[in-house]
Amino acid sequence: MSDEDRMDALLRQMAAEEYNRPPEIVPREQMWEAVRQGLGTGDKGLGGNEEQGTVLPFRRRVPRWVYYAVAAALLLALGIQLGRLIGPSPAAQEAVVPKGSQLDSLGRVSPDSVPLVAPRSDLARSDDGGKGPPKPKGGPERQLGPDAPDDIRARAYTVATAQHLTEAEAMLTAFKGDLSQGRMDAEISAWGKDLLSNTRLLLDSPAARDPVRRRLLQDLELVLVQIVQLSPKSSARDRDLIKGALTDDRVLTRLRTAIPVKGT
Amino acid sequence: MLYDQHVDRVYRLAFRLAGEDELARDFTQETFIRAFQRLKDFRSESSFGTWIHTIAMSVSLNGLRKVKKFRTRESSLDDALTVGIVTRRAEPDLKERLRQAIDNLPEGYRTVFVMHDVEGYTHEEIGEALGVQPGTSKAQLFRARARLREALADFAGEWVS
Repeated sequence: MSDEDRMDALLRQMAAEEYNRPPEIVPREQMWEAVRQGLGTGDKGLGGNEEQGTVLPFRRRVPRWVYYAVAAALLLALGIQLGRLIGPSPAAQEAVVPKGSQLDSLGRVSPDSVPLVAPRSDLARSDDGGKGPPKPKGGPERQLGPDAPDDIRARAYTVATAQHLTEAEAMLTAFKGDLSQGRMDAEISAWGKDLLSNTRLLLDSPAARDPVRRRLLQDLELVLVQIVQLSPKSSARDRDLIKGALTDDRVLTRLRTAIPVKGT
Repeated sequence: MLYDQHVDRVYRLAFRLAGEDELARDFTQETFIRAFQRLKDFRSESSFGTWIHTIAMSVSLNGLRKVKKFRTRESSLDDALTVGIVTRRAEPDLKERLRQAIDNLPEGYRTVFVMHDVEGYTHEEIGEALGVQPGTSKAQLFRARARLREALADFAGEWVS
């Protein structure tokens, strides 16, 4: 046996004994509980039809064409805005103002006066097997496509929510790592403040009309408030409370199941 | 039950890679959630164990990248705040040096080293879990060991004597 082989063998042995040695007892039960909750199976157990769970993979709920539709809608909105800046005629303006909405002093549509359309909670069912978005029905009022922008807007909220949840998941993962090491970073707190204000905005938007998503955003908001209020002088009990909120409400697990899975 | 059969091995590997119980639990839970959600996509061409390890490696490595990215940003901020402060540290002992040397390995080398030399996976298992050829796994392990020998060269005299 050469010196290199001997050194490799010793390295192997020492690494196996010392390097990130896992505990003897694996927390099977706690993890199983989290897995079950993450799947939304409750006490029903696993092994049944996936559709029975309350959580569906994001990509199955939002097909690829929705992203293109959102991009197209944003482009269209930009074009409309530019057109308005150039100066539309009053007649043309009337044609694009939705019924029941009011104009402000600059002639723009007041956002408060525009009736919001509830997002379709049954996005999965709205998928028509890749045949594209529902086509507007006929009729003079339909020619302006009042349904299409609302539908797209609801989906835009879904995409924005997914992005927000992804960021929240990254922040909470980093925070949990710090928490387990007893550290508290000011940057995390600042990050938490940003996320907190965005969470509140989403809760006040049509994105929160879906009850499952609303509950998740509310729990996320609660955890973020606690994190933002945490300071280096905070007691261990404060930290335990946040840890408890993260674990008991399974916020992190629920976030991960609610955000899109890359590469699937 | 599938969970009971595989959870220990997945958790152990996640712990070895993450070095923290919290992260190891998160990665393990996430692995099984994804596996059960995609159960109908599982093809019995490979074993369930192989398939779940593929998911586990994807979840763990992606999760660690996120954490590392954040901590790098955090430590660079700390460094900026401590400019000019000279700290004197004790010479780390062999165990600490080994830990640092393994942590400092490139991700691919470290992953293969941990899987093969620490947790006892075969090159075939590693290849399937990481989506590479067994030969690539062997080459990565060879290079990882060489890097570790190099990093710990000043201890070599004690070891081989």
